[in-house]
Amino acid sequence: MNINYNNIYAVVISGLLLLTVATHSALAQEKTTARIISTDAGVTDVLIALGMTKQIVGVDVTSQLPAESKIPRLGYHRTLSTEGLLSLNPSLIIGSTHMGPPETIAALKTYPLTLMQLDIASNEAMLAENIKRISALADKQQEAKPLLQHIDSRMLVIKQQQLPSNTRVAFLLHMEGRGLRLAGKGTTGNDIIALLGGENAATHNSYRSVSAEALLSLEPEVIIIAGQKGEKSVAGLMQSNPMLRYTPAGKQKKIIAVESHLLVAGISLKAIDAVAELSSQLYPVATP
Amino acid sequence: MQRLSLSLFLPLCVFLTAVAIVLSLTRGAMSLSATDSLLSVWDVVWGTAYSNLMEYQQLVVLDLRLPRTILALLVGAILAQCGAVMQGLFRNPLADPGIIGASSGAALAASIAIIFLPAWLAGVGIPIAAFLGALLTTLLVFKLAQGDNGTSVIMLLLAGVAVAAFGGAVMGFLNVIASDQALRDITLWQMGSVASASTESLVLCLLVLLMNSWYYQRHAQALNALLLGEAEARHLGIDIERLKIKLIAVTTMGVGVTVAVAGIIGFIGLVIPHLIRLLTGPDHRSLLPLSALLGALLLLLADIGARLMMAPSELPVGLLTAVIGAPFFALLLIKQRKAFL
Repeated sequence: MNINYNNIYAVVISGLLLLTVATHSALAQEKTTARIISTDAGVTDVLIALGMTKQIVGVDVTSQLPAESKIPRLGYHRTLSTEGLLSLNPSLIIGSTHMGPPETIAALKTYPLTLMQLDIASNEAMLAENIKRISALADKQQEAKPLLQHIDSRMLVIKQQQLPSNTRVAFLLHMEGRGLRLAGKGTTGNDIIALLGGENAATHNSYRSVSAEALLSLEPEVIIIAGQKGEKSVAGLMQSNPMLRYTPAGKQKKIIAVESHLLVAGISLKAIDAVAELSSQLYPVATP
Repeated sequence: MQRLSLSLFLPLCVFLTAVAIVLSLTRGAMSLSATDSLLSVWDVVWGTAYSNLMEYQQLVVLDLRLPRTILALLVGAILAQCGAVMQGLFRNPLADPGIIGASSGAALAASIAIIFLPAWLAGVGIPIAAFLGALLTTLLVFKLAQGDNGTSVIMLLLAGVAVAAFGGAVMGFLNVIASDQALRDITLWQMGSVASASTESLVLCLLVLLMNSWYYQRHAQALNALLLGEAEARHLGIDIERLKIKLIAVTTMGVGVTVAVAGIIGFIGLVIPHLIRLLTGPDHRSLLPLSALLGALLLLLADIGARLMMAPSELPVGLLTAVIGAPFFALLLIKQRKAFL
């Protein structure tokens, strides 16, 4: 191993400098034939909704694709492999600010491609902003209009069916056999509670394990469970924690379920639909 | 078991390592011409221009594959050597750098750094914390094991277990209070990877490897004497206590540095020295350099596997070494059991 590393790196660094100069010409490619990698489930949803499925050449492990799709998976969006990404020859990589590791992000910036990192949306305005940025980059402003209108119409439904102010809501992640995790501040669960107009019964940050007893003491008036089996989650939760019947939410039958895979990418298009659905379920129908 | 002669084994190892290096530079998620990939390395070293690769493809070879190849070789060599010295020092084939608490200490300190350090400090802070953690825990374990009549090996092992258990408990607690982001960083960091090799980490590992090799080689004879037993080694005029302290300090540095640059990569330090002992015998003068060579080879092969098995995504290399090493460890235990009963 008598390689002189300093030499190699000196050359590599000067090569990088040359390359950055050279990228400008390479970047002037046609945008219509963009080869896109999406490393965020929400971004993938938007790309599909914009009718760009054919241009997606790779996605992260959380992205939901049409069943027949053969698009390669790049693994977890925080442990992306630089060479893995480059091997798909992308011209555009879109992900969230959580993309990683930092070394991969730093390396990607030295290659002739466009890297866009979007904030994970925690409300409808941020989601709309992300859609505008993606559609501007891909020259799909026309296709973005119905999406933005769809968000507005869903938000209208949600705004009309707000929970009474100061309603205490507990948002739970229910993992089969792994107990309950309660969504605190800074989580998608917290954002969903805010959209519904309720107040998060939890005061801690991120997700934390809770016991049925602790849940009882929080006295939630609404419990939302994110599980992998939709409706069955409620039954499963009640079966393993019969005490929950004695919470205000249990007494008023305000325990409802939502699909947990909607939560992987913040307030996404799918999450907005789910929140609208939740608000309809929770909105008290006036009994004649 | 038929022992191999060194004159056969050494060239074989060197040849296999050379093959692995070529593989590592020419195979990856991206399909590039093997000849051109190798030529681009040649070009950089000699300033020629034989390679037909596009500029960005050359970067993949030189900027992604070459550094991680070198890092895998260096880290594998350091870990295997440290393992060989530990096993010699404790006269126990189950000893591993992890046993003296270095790995758990490093992991613990790094996790604390991940959670509490501000982002701008993290890049430098996490490796430094890992190193200090390894050093502090080792010193603590060593103090615990220090008795009136020298260091008791059993106590050292038990203290190592205690420190690892305590470290695990603190990690568990951090898992409860850490944010989601920090939690993921910790998990990933504990899995071990040689993907992010910087110039600094390569230079650091090279220096550590050279220094450790030189130092260990000087004490190879003393380690050989130790094989006879501590009392016998004392009669041969070896200052056992000083030898232990010196070798443990040097080994900790080796382990701390590898954990800092590549996370926790287990079992290399356990499996390799053992294999070499089986194949070529227990003489430390040949055991130490051969361990380094085979350790480098094994970690490089594991990393090639980590890159190719799930392409275009990547596995943590620590996962692969554990898959190879853990059953091996169990086998060793079964063999040892006869001695314990």
